[in-house]
Amino acid sequence: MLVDYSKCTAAGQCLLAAPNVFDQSAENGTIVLLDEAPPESEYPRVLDAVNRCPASVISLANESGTTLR
Amino acid sequence: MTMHDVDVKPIPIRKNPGRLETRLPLEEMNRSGTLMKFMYPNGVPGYMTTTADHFRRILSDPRFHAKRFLGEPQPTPVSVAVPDMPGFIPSMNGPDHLAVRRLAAGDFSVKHIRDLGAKIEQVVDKYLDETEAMGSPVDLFASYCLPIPSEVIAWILGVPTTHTQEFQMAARYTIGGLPEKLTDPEAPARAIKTLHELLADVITLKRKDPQDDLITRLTKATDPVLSDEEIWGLCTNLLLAGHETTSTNAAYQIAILLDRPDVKAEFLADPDRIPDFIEELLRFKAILTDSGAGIPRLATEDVEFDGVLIEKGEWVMPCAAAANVDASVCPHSPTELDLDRTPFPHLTFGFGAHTCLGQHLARAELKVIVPKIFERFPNLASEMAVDDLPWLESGFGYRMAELPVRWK
Ligand code: HEM
Ligand code: SF4
Repeated sequence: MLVDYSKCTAAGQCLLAAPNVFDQSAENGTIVLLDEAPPESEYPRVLDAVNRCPASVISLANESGTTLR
Repeated sequence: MTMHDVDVKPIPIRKNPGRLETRLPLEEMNRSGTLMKFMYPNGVPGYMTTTADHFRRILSDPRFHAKRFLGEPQPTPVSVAVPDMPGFIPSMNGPDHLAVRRLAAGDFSVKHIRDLGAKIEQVVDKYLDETEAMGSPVDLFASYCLPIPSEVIAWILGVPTTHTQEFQMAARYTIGGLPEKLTDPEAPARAIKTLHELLADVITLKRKDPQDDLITRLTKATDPVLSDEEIWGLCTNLLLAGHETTSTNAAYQIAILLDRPDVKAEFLADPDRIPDFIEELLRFKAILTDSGAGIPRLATEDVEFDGVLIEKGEWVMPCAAAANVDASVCPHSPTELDLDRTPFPHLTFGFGAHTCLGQHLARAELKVIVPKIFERFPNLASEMAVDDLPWLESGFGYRMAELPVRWK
């Protein structure tokens, strides 16, 4: 999972979608990655976060680094 | 306006965006699936988006700039302008925008807002008591919906209790005051000036005596450092963005429930699902854009967008009301209010870098303001049908003018 902090607009959608994987910094509201390689059971929620993030901050890549979405 | 804009159709402005039976021709717009160019009443044309995909793409495309309130002619359905100020994030773009936005974002994060739950309840209870003391009938917009969001913002900013009453009064007049005062067109500008003086005072206080509040944090910001002018601009921004929007939405949601006893019964039957019900109410009526307003963006270069050439200097108007009834996000009878829907991410709070900073706060307030009024006054009834409620022009489009109710 790749996170581009520079684009994060601190909207907190990621944490609402997948609270076990993402958190929001108390200081500036930006994304905090709690789990870089979440278990498969989290995938649907992570995908939801990817779709909801208004600033396209989160992307997914497979082990060889190819971006999936 | 260029020569070829002469034939552009006028935008079907709806001065009463709360009407249930009529709306913008949203489904027709959806079906067209393209940008629709309209002429706004002030003579500036703008491309309105009709789909959720266009809404998201334009609001996340850095070639389109947010330039609100800058006094340059931009498409708007109303004649009221919001003044621009230093520190106003809706007029900033790129990294500068994000840097300033992040200075305030911690205080509006999901966690901070959760911690604010008890405070919100306390403010809501206070205005329930005041409303009850005023007696039935009453204008619930003025007595209840309007003062709550600004008092909560005052708390977040750290406005001391010695200044709250004046802050509240000024907040009330930034939106043109209440019906009896509307004849005074200078009231909003005067209120902004009062706020300026008051906040300047508070900023000085906080520099001397730092507290655990947003204004103190802003005075200590280093990346970037904010001047006093920018701090008061940002604070005024937070007030203006969160005050009229939340109160109008709260009043409108109460009005719909009063109008539809079956929906109200469903709403009140399951307290655990109230957050979901609020989402559906927010989706169903994106009041701001259902008037014909949009979320204005300026093309900073020529942009070829799905076969339409948007020229540099032209405006696009992403429309949340149209996006929210797009079948791709809400597949079944999207123009109907249906509390039973699985909640889905609607676009009432915008998208992209400027996505509503106060959305978690707005939700936290609505989920208390709306049910609590029915708890306190089980016999609450509206004096008017939803469709007849009066609306007023405001800096953001339209706001509810009053919500006359009785409980006896
Ligand atoms: C139901 C109530 C609300 C609605 C429907 C709403 C809607 C919106 C929308 C659509 C935007 C995007 C504007 C744009 O892209 O140019 C926005 C921005 C904003 N909202 Fe809200 N809002 C609400 C409540 C609040 C509250 C309670 C606050 C709290 C202070 C707030 C603070 C802001 C701020 C600061 C921005 C500007 C963000 C930026 O430019 O980066 N809003 N709001
Ligand atoms: S949803 Fe996107 S923009 Fe919002 S906090 Fe998460 S990563 Fe940042």
